[in-house]
Formats: sequence, structure tokens, C-alpha cells
Amino acid sequence: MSITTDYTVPPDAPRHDCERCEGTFATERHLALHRGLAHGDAELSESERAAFAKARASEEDELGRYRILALGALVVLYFAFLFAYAMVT
Amino acid sequence: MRGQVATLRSSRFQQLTMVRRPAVLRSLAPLLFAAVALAACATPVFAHSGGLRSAGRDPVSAPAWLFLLTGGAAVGASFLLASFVTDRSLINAIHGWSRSLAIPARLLRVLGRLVGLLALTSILAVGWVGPVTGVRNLAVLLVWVAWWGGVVALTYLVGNVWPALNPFRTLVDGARWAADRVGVGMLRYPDRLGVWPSVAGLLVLVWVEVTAPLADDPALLATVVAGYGAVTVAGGAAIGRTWFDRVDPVSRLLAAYGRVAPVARTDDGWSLHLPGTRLSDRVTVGLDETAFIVAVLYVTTYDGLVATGPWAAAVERAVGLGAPPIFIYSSSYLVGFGVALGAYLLAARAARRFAVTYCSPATLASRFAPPLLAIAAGYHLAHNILTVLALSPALASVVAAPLAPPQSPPTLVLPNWLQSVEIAAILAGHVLAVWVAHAAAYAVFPDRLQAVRSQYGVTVAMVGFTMLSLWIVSEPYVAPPFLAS
Repeated sequence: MSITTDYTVPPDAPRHDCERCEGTFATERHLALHRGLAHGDAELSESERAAFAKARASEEDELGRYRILALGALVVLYFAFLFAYAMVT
Repeated sequence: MRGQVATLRSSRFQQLTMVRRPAVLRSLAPLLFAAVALAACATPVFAHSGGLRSAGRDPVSAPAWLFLLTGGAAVGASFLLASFVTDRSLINAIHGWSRSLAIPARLLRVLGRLVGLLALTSILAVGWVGPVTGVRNLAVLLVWVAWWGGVVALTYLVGNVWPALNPFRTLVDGARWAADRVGVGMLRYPDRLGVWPSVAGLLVLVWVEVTAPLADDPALLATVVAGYGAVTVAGGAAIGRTWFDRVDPVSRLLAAYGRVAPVARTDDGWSLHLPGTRLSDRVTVGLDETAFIVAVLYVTTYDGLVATGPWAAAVERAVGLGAPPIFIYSSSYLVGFGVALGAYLLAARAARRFAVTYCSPATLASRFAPPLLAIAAGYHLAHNILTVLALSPALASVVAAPLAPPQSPPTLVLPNWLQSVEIAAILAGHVLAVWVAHAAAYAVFPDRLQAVRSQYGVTVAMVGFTMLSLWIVSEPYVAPPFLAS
């Protein structure tokens, strides 16, 4: 099967196009990550590699914050059900 | 076990095989949540979940709403847990794992074709001339227990055996061979139709299955099989094997279920994968393929929904107001499919917004549709495993003497705890779907936060759908009103 990803960009939306493929992204960070993941280290220029590393770091930071929130949600869910079962049954 | 052999209806043999006890199912709810809590024990926060686990050891009956919420929460929690796996190489390793298999495919194919043809002949012959009671008739048992219960389950648990078994494919191959001999060419399948004919075909077939007493009336079943077979062989003879790839709803249904299975056909033989991992593979974009997958899930749900008490009450009320039953069934069926497809496309649109991506809605819809097949497989297993187990001795005794079967063929009395397998199957399907969608999102988006956020809408839809499915299996079976059975 062929690999097909269509892109549709709303008019006047900010766009960051990949120079090597048809990929187009809403933020600089998505494009930098895309270059590093899809096109590999060897193809990238020095500045693109640096941008990839920087995007990686900011992605990791944000993932860290997300993990805390997700863990919080799990804890809330857990205790909500713990109490619900204690009350109801 | 109630012995109302004559009231067998449809593919569900509930009245015969079991009396559903919602209370028993609900008492398992704490167990189910304990399972999620146990899975979460990997994080130290959950080290003191002993309270729920001990509740699980001594089942207490929970009210329906809590049971349903627990099921929904199990799916929501598995989304949160899956989102903790952020290592791309780990996901790639899990989904890329495969071993090549040496299967005596040629031998199995010849055997499969013989068995398929023999089964088709038996269904037609015994259906028309055999005993008139469903559970004593080989045609009914072959179609509903061996094929719909057994072969379909085999398809998603092991691998798609239908192309080898499908007797109509064998007949089409024969017809094509003869046609080539006398120089009759094939027609070209119009590409613009895509796989839409199979979507319509699936809706029609399940419609017939729900509304006609196909498990009660062996002659009617044989006639429907013959009608379906005539259309299939004629279509296959006209356009060749494309028929089975694009048009035939049954072959496409089993191929779809086969995508969940660990064993896959590759260009150079066979390979073994982890179950469900092939669902995250990239496939072609198209609303028709997406609609087919949604239809697979939808028809399974509708099939269960019409056998619930509230459905029966609603239909009776509508008929009391003067609507013809056939209109209620058909309009609710079609509107329901529209709603299901619309809800899914809406969830895919939500992914585009939450993930801040320019991937087209069609791309996203087609990427996140295959995980739904894991849910459909879990639901199919939940619906059929007890029937297959209970009626397998009946099948064996009727196969031994198709034209003079025992007066009341033996059935297995199943222990009540087996009902927990139904819940486990539904949840396993959903959890697998959550994981596969997670992996597919990682393959689509360069940014891992995008991957997580893209799943918000889909997860909400899945939580709602889990609760609906659990509600359906926990409802006692009520024969759908106004249908001939």
C-alpha cells in the first residue's frame, strides 16, 4: 500500500514547509522535529541539526509537564472510584 | 439452560445457551477496576490499591451506572497509561517485531478448499431437506456456530483463513478458468466506486441477518446462502478476484478482522506479529475504507442493541404511535450508521484541531480507523464465545448424522464465571485499540505532544462506546419485537 498523507492548510494560517518533502507544519518546532525524524541526521545541515536538538529539548520539557498532569488525572480517577465503590457497595 | 430450541433467533443463541444475569456481570466491576489499578501499580502511587483488590476477591454487586463508568474509566485510564510510553524506538520495536513462518500453505489451501466446498454443499442440502429445528440442523450450526462463531474468531485470533476456505472463491476460480479457456474476458471494475459497494453490501447482509429468522429456519438460511452465493459467483466471474478485494462484504469483513491477527501474509510467505500491531500500518487514504471499518463496528453494535429490553420498549412505543415496524428498523439502522460515521469523522476532526496539524481530515480518519477493528474483534468474541462453547457438542453430534440428528443435541452447561470472559474481551479490544491508536499517532506526528493530543477526541468516543457495549452485553436478552422468529 502506498504511503499517503494529504495536507490541507487553511488560508492565512502560518505554515512551515519542509524543503525535502510535501510535509507542512503549523509550528517551527513540528517542522524541526519532522526534519530530524523523517530525513535523518546525514541529510541535515548544521543549523537544522541544532534546531532539531532544541525542538527535542522543548518537546521533552512539555512532555514532562504532561506526564505530571496525566499522573494527576490517574490519581483523581483512582480515588474517585475508590470512594464511589466505598459509598455505593 | 432453557430448552426453547424452537425460538432460536439470529446469530445470537442467548435464549438457548444462557440466561444473562446482569447482577453477576456487575459484581465483576470491582475486579475490572482492580485490574486497571494493578496495571497502574508500575507507578509507586498505586502501591496501596489493596482495598479494591480485596473487594475483587469478595465480589459485591455494584449498580449499573457504576459498572458502566468503571468500564469507561478503564479505557480512559489505559489511554493515560499508554501516553506514558513516549519512547519512539520502543513503540517501533513492538510494532515492527515479526518472525517469518513456514506454513505448508499449498496443502492447507487445497484442504481448505475441499472443506469449504463440502460445507457449502452440506449447508444447501441439509438446509433444504434436513430437520426443521434450528439446533438440530447442520446448516444452521455450520453457518452460525462453525463459521460465524468459529472461523471469524479464528480470523482475528490467528489469521485470515477465509481466502483458502471461501467456497465461492473456489467456484469463481473455476468459472474464470473455464471462461479463459473459451476466451471470455473479464470486465473492468470501475475504480471510482472504491470499496463503497462492500459498505452497502455489509449493511444489507447484516440487515437480513437481524430481521430474518436465519437461525430458526434452515430452509430460509440455505436460500439466503444460495442467493448470496449466486451474486458472489456471478460478480466474481465478471470481474475476477477484484470482487473479493473490493466488493464482497464477507471477504472484506474477514480480511478486516484478519488485520488484527498475529499471522499475516507477506509478499514472500507468512509472518508472525504481535496481535494488533499491524493495525498501525500505513494504508491508503479513502473515506470508503474508513466507512467500511466504521460499518464493521456499527453492525456488530446494532445486532446487540436490537436484542435489549429498552430497544424493544422503544420500538413498541413507536409502533403504538402508528409507525410500521419495518420502517422503524430500517430507518434507525441507516440513521444509526450515519451517526456512527459522523461521530467518528468528528473525532478525527477533533484530532486535527487538538494536535495543531495540517494533515487532512481524511488522512487522520483513515489512520485512526483500523484500531477500531480491535474493538470490533473484542466485541465479536464477547458476543459469540459462549455460544460456540455451548453449542460445540451439538455441532459434533449433528455432523455425525446430519439427516438423523439426536432429538435434542447435547449442549455444554457453562459455568457463570465464563461470563467474565465477555467483559474481558470487550475491554481487551478497547485497550488494544487505545494502544494501536497511540502507536499510529506516533507514526503520523513528528511532535509527541501532537500524538498525545490527537487522541483526546478519539478517546472520548471510545469511552462512550465502551460504556454502550458493556451496557448491551449486561442487558438480558429480549427478542426484538415485530420480527418473524
